[in-house]
Amino acid sequence: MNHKSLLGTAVAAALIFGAQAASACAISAWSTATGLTAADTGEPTAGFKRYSGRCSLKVTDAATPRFVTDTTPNNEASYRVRFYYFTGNISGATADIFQARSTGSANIIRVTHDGNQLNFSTTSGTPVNITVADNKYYVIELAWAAAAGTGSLTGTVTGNSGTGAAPLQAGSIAINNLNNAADSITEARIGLIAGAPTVTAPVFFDEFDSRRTQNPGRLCRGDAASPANNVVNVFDAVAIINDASGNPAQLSLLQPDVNDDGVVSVFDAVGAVTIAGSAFATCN
Amino acid sequence: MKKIIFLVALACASTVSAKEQLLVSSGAAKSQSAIAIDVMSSGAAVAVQVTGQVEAKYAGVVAFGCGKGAPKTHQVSCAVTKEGRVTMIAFSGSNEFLPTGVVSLGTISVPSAANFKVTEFLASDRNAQPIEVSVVDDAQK
Repeated sequence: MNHKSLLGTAVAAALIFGAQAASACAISAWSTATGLTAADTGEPTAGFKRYSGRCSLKVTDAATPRFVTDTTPNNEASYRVRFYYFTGNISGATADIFQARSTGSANIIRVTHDGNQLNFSTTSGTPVNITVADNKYYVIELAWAAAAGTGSLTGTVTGNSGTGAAPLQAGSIAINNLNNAADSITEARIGLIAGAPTVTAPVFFDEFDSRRTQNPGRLCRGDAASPANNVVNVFDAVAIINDASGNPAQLSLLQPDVNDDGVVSVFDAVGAVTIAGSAFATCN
Repeated sequence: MKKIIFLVALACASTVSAKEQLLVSSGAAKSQSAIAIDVMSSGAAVAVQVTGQVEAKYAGVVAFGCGKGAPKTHQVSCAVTKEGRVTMIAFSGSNEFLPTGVVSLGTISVPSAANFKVTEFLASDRNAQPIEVSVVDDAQK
């Protein structure tokens, strides 16, 4: 079904115009944008912190709502989503960073960030808090289903993994046995959607992927050399070092940020070498 | 003049068909094997990876002389998983080329019974693309 990516347009443009072209990042894959434009997307050479590919979406303040919306879900009773979130440095208030909503504009899935914790909630059940660090990438994976007594919202938050071989799970969500058969999802939003925290360092979003029945899964951490092969080896270390050089022509189109700090450096190459020598060298 | 042209032609040919050669040589002392891992470098690779396998029950006793004799431009990382997968990776933080000639990556010490075998040898050029490789495994002769 619905499979949205922030980067689809950008990657296609890069292939057409070549790596030396000006940033081709875009948000045109989204149905609508509120308080954001293509100028809020960009490449690492312009200071954008991306997890994968060349582009990411930056939100620098919450003075007004700033988010993108996907309206392709069609009264879904099952919804799986994955996105990468760079936590930046926010404080003073709680911001909604993800909403999956019904036709009546009710939040069916809601994810908020208060600067210290992510909070996950749905229309019933006990919300779950997961502590996250500032200025780190985390991948948020959620699976929601509506049913009479067996509905659920489950998921994981993984990131800030450093250069160790194993990805670090910050926490998991398991809100089960929900009586939510009447709920359905018709749109999803990401950004700083509601709330007005102070944004000392911007937050970034990358690699949004939503589906009806299958979990999108995580991208292969450290698989940086093209073409993607879901294996981390010496070629990825070399590609990461090239990316770290800052030469736009040598940016990785895959996942060079091994340590999830939003910056690609030799430390990420060392991390890739560590992964290559571990049981995590092959991604599932 | 003909000699000069011939030499130029040879130089071009060696650039096109750059091949990194892995040299695996073992010496046994009692029940222990000391395996030297070297690369005959053409000067075209910036990083190499050697992957090997030992029987899993010996994974805990694999010992490395990691990076012993390696060029200062490169660091060598050595690891073994509990499943017995052994890796040695030599890379440069600035993607410097490995020097031409024999480059030592280090040594691996394992019990002879661990049955160490090289399963893969990879060499990368500066663009993270594979270079043609070959393996001369003295331990398997």
